[in-house]
Amino acid sequence: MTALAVSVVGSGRLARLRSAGGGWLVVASALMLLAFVLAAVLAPVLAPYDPDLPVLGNVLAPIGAQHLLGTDQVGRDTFSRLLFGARTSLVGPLAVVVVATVLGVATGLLAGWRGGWVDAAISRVLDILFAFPGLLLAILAVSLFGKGVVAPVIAMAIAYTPFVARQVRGLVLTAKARPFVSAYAVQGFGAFSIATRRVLPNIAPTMLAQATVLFGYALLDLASLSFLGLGVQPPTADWGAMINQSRGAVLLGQPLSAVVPSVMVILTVVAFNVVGEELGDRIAKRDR
Amino acid sequence: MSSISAEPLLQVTDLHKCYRSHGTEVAAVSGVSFRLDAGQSIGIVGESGSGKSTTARMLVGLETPDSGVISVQGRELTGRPRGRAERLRRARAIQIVFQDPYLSLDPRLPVGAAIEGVLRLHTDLAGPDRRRRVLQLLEQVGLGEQQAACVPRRLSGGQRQRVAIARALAVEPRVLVLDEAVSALDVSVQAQVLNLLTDIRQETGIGLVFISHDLAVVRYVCDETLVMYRGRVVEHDSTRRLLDDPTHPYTRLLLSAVPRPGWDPAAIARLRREVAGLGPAS
Amino acid sequence: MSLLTLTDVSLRMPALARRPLLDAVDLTVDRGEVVGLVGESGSGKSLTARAILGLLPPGAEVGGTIEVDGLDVLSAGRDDLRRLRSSQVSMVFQDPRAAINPLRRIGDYLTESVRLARGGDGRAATARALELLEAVGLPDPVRHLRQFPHELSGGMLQRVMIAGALMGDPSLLLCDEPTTALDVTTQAEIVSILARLQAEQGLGMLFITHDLDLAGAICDRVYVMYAGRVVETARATELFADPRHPYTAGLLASTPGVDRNHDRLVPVCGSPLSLLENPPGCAFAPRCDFAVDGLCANEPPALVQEGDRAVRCLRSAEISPGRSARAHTVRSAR
Repeated sequence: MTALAVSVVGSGRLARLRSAGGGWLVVASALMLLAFVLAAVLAPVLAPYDPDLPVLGNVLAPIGAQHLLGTDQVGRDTFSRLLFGARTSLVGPLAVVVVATVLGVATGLLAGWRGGWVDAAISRVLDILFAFPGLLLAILAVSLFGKGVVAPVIAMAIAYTPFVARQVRGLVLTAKARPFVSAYAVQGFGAFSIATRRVLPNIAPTMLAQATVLFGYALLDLASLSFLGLGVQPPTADWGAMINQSRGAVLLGQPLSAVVPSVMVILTVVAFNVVGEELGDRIAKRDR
Repeated sequence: MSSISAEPLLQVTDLHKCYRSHGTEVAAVSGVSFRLDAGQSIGIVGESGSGKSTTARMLVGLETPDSGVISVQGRELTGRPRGRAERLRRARAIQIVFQDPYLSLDPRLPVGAAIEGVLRLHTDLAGPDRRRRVLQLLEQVGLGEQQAACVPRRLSGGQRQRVAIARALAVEPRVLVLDEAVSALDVSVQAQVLNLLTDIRQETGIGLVFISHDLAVVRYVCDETLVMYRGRVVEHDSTRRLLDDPTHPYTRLLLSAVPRPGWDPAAIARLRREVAGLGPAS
Repeated sequence: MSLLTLTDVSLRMPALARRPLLDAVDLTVDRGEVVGLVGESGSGKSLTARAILGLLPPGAEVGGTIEVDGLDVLSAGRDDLRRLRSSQVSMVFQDPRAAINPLRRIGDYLTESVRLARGGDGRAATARALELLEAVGLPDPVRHLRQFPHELSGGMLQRVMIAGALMGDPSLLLCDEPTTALDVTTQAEIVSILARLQAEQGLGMLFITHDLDLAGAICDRVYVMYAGRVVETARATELFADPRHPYTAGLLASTPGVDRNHDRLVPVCGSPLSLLENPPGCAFAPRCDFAVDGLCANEPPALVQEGDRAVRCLRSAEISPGRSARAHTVRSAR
């Protein structure tokens, strides 16, 4: 994901993005994501306080010089928790997207390339998986394997796989029909080699754009899971968990510690959508 | 000129291919046979639905014939090669140049790299030797180092088609099939590529199977011509004899439909209906 | 007064191309005349047709005048343009499947623009549609009205498009490569339909194609375009017998004939001008066998009238690019 942000921002594309009318939103989103990633990586350096240490004498402090974003209901500095929370909040979705993409590409490629009964069988399995919302599968996984991060991530990755697989399958079918693939076959390249080393790289850019958008949804789903208390467990900082734990504070009329992580989640998801769609548009335009 | 040898370069015997469409069987190709000697070129003309493209695809193994034999230099070519060795052998027998040069090149690869990939598959040449051969091939088709570094998007239509020819020649095939290979080119560029094909034929003794709807181009390029109609070969003769004095009514129809001064399209329309026994319009 | 007059028409799109896409184009079409517009990719022939209909791409800077039946298209208001497109000028496109809405029935396609323009009930429009479907030679007009485009073959759909173009009783018909996507025998049928209807209704027809032979076979006069400029115009028979511009001669010499033997074709070297190139002089000079250093590449040549012909070449008076080998096959048919 860092590579993604860097690849969008780097190599002079920033200037070109800016020159494209309306590109400021994309630039801003990309820069913001980069900032979040850096913040997560540099959390131990940047955080002014220990994120897990309760200071019961200073609960629900407002925004101030001591605490940039106030404190939560047990006195932990919200800003520090935000920084550390970025780690779990961003790594989980990354894992989901990576696993879903790997599984999805493998199944989609197999289905699209082989066709016939292989395609039919795989498509039916995917159809069944489509019926399960990611969140539901994750809750099921938790009930089977216990709370934490690992089980929900895997379950969610499985739930997201059909989206990726279906798109890959479609792209592979289109590519298969293009003469350059037939040309490779006539030249004597083997089917496996054509599929993996020639067709896949051609569809990879589109998949990247798709993955970026998926990240946002995965973030939302995992945050929801943590909000339900089924994901990251206290006292570990995590944006979804922070929202959950601040419910009491909201009832007391002190919404700050709930609003801050909510805003982070929203900003991140929107930013990923914006960047992902822009990538997708650019790729589509380039292929014209 | 064609060498007279006992064994033809390419021998096609009684090819058949059917497709099922909406429950009915459509005979795309019925009983196509011909022979091609080294350095010769044979044209296959017809309109849409004639089966000429299906025949081309069967020659290079993109479709498997229901029955019939295709052999190159006496060796029969299987429809579905099993294993790497067979695949490579088939590739070295017949190669193809497609109609649309943009779609038939890998959009990601600079064209030099694409040709090098073919050489890596078929030869044992070391890196520097390979690259030299790539430049040699490009030079043969009239392109240079500058074009080698370009992706297809950056080349003109004529240049792309030359690359496609160079790529096919890199395999060093015995036979080259050209499926409407000049139809998508501008007129002023078409002649360049046609001359190129003539030169290559003379230089390498490769056999050409030239598929086209354009009778004038076929006359220029091909020694012999097959006329296909609805999957069957209706006439097969030396090109000049066929076009100067056609026997089959369909050939006469095709010929008279070529636009030129003094053309009477209305009469052609009537001829067509007579020939095909079609309804009033299609 | 001519039905269609283009005077010094130019079109630039600075965002897209360095050179003008159309430059100093003069063109006329009279009633009852079939005029050919011949060129390769990038010549500007399709753009000319769209300009006549007032269909200019956004960002286009246009100069000159286009007059259709007295109406100045380039300065016409929206209502005038709508009237122009619905009842004065019609266009037949190259690909009927791309130009006809696949989700609507043929009958709707044929009648909707007329119903919108003239109001009233659909019955008059439907009657006219049936009449025209029969005129274009479709066997079962009543049934075709209810069909969808995918149920018809390419040739039949092109006939439908021609019928649609004639629905508004236009006086000028623009045909943009109407037969390029069709088989050669289907092409002959479509062309015969177009020729018959054009003669019957006394239409002016601008026939755009890349096929010189086709233009020569059916057109009275032909304009040859290269890189946005008209480089030569003449009566069809004269153009083929005696081309005066090196480009025309080059095209004729490099096209094989179905009734002639060639030892070797003489190609036109190089390729058509790209959008990024903007040579100061003659656009064809880099590819021209007759170009003179210091002359052709510096000065843009003007279109010089010679009787009812015109050539845009500085050297046309002194050189003879070659009496075309086709001289002996030209008959005085048109």
